[in-house]
Amino acid sequence: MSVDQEIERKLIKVENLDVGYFHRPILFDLNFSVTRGQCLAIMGASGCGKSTLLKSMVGLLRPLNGKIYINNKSLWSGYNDPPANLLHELGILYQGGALWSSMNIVDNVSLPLQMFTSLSITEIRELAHYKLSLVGLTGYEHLYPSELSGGMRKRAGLARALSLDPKILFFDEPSAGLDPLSARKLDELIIRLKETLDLTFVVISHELESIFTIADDAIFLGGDHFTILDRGNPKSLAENSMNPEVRSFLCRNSSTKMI
Amino acid sequence: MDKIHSQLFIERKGDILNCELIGDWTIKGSAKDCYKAWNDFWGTQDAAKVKSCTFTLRDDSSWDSSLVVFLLQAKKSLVKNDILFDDASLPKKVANLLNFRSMQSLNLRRENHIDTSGKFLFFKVLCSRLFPFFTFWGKWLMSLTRLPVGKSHMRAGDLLKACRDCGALGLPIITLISFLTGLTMAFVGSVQLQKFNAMIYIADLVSLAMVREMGALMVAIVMAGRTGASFAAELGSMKLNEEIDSLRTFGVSVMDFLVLPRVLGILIMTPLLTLYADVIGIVGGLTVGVYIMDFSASHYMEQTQAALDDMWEIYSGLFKSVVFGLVVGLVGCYKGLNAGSNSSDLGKAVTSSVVLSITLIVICDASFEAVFSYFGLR
Repeated sequence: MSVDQEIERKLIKVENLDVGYFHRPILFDLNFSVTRGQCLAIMGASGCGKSTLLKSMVGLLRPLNGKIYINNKSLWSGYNDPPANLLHELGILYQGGALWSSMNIVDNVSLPLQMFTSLSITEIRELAHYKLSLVGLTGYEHLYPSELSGGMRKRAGLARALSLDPKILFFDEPSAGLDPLSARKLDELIIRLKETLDLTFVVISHELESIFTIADDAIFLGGDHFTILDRGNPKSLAENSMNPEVRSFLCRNSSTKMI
Repeated sequence: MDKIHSQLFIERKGDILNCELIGDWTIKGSAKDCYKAWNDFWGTQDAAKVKSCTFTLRDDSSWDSSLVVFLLQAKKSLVKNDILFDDASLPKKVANLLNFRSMQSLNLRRENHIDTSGKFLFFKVLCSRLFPFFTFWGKWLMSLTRLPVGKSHMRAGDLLKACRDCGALGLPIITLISFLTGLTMAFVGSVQLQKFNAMIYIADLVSLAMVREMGALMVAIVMAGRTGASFAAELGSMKLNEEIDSLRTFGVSVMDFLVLPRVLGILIMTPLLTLYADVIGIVGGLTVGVYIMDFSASHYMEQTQAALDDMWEIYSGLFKSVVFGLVVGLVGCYKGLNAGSNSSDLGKAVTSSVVLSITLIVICDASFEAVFSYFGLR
């Protein structure tokens, strides 16, 4: 494979990134990239800055330093918020779903289509119903978010994230607040979507089971230097990581070091 | 057996200080005397010769976290003076707790760097509060200019809904308040005017006061309590649920989609409501005039018409109401969008939106009166 093709395949590239709030950096000097079709897990102890990193990668929080490239275009160029057409390559599933509570779920899925496409109303409606059927919510279209269970809310959020056919999907703690069975169903759904829709995933999670199931690459954040401790396939990291903190996190034993 | 009060014996041998802790070192007893004894010792001449300090705890004494806190404080002052802290003869459990605490404090690397020192602190804080509000104001104007060009994300349905919420649904309360305001003014005024036997001027008093001042002010205050608060609560809870974030990550402008329809709605509806309140207030005055003072309705209305001969009286009230509407809408949305991320912050945001908009309304009103009278517009 030539160098150009290699660059072409990198859908997300992060260079020398510092993220944090105001003048208080939380993570320093991050460098990593995500290849097309890959599922990258971002791991780390609670409070290490995973969600902050995600906010910077999806265009909600300006990084303090460094660059993020989505499809070889810089996300945070200039002084304005990231341009809408670049943001449409990203879909985000928030922790609680973050559905717009004043609209029912089919309107939630339709709204981005109404805003950013010139499709007719019937086409939009069809598309919204199709996206909801992908996540198994056929028959629930006219319910409001408050009438749904936690797991259904996440699936509806996933349908909305898929509404503009993004290339990359971000998940913020997909299995948080779900029972083990619903969490596994969501993981299965993620894998099925990955295979059928040819998507790239970035998942923030500390549910080991779901990381081992869905992720084929992982970065581990934290430590004394507030940066990437190790990266690689989660299963091989669990056995062969050079970093004892990573190993103990992935094997759930706390014998190596008390934090 | 009664517990012995916590006691501290300090003894210096050469450059080693022996401290013996006995008695009840629990949070139920007070170790105030021991703190005093400890601090007093460091004031004496002996203190300068100490190089290391050993602590021992007598076997029969009881202890809990209050002992640990005392030792931590002692350790801190010792370390500051470069004196060795020797915990070897303390029970293992106590020593472990001490080390546990000191390990934690090493992890506190992240710090806040906000400059809260130096001169003009008051102005710095004031500017840091005001600057974002004016930025918000500017962004709203930018969003307004996008509207006629057709680049706005605003949906017409949202504007109509905002108009209905702050206009039509507010009619009952506006009716009640402005009717009673007109009524009250007529009652109060009639007592004064009776002294001069100039009762018919009650029509002038009520209509002028209503049209110039009270109509706009009453509507604005109802709006602040009703609509402004609901904007703040609605947007604040949307922020809490990450709904605002999800709009932003779709590239939808929050200014266009949420703020513009609300503020435009209130901007359109306040002058209409003010006009309505003016009429109802005059009707309130009329009720008193007809039923209490025995004027005929036509006589009263003729007098009112003569009083409102100059249309400027009405226009000035309407102009003020537009500004009040803008203030209420912008303050409500600003406070909602800048609410913090827990439920008590939401309550604070709603409260401060009402307080700030009423304050700004009164300040604006006073300024308008001053400017109008300076330029002879009265």
